[in-house]
Amino acid sequence: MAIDQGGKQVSNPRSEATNYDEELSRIDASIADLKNREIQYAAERSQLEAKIQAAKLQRDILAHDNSKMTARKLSKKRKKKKVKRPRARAEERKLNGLFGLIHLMSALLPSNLRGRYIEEWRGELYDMRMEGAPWRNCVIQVVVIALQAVPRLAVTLRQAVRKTVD
Amino acid sequence: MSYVPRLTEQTVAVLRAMLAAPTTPRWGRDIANETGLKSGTLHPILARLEQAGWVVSAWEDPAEHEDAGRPRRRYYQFAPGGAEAARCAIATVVAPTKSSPVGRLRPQLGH
Repeated sequence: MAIDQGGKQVSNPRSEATNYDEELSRIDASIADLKNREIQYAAERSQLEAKIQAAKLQRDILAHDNSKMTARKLSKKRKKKKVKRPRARAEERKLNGLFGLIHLMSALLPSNLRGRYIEEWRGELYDMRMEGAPWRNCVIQVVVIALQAVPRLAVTLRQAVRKTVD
Repeated sequence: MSYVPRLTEQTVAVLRAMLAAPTTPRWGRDIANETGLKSGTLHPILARLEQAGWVVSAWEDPAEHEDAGRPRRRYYQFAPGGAEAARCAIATVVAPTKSSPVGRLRPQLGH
């Protein structure tokens, strides 16, 4: 910009042309710089993508191995349970079979109280099992109930009935 | 019907176990564990106490045993006045053995 005689600013076409050249060259330089940066970023991006791919692959492999291991552990546990279950069931079946002895002997009890005591003894046996009593002890308990508790109780209850009648 | 039940050693043991917490309902196995009595002895005793009117029994609340997934229990508890009657009876049973001179009378040797 130049200043005329009246003090007003007047534009100089030559100086403007030099200014634009500078500006253009600066813009060109910045474009080149940005392109360079873009190339760098593209290179970095491709590197990162490759790294992500590698990490995903590693993760997939580990997840697969992990699922295999957990499956193996579970199958081991199941196998153990499978070994235990039939035995426990067989024991329960035997116990129920033995409980038939109590049912048989309970014919000695007055009919109105028979069900009550059978249920009570069944509960006691269940408690014994839950307390971790060995199966043999449960069998002994059943035999004791059938051969000792039932006859004694029958005598007690029938004596009481006789007393009320008298 | 109420009468004074025969107070054997085992009956006294059962009553003592129940008197430890007179208002708490107890089930058969619980009492058996505390007294060391077998089922064959315990149930006739409980039946006698029930007939005497000292003890009452009732099935437990279905909600409790269904939640626990086990068979229901029969709970035994002192009837109103049962605990006092049991205490008096135990006192009369225990007292003579301590104070009675009968146990101390023995024939003297040489007479």
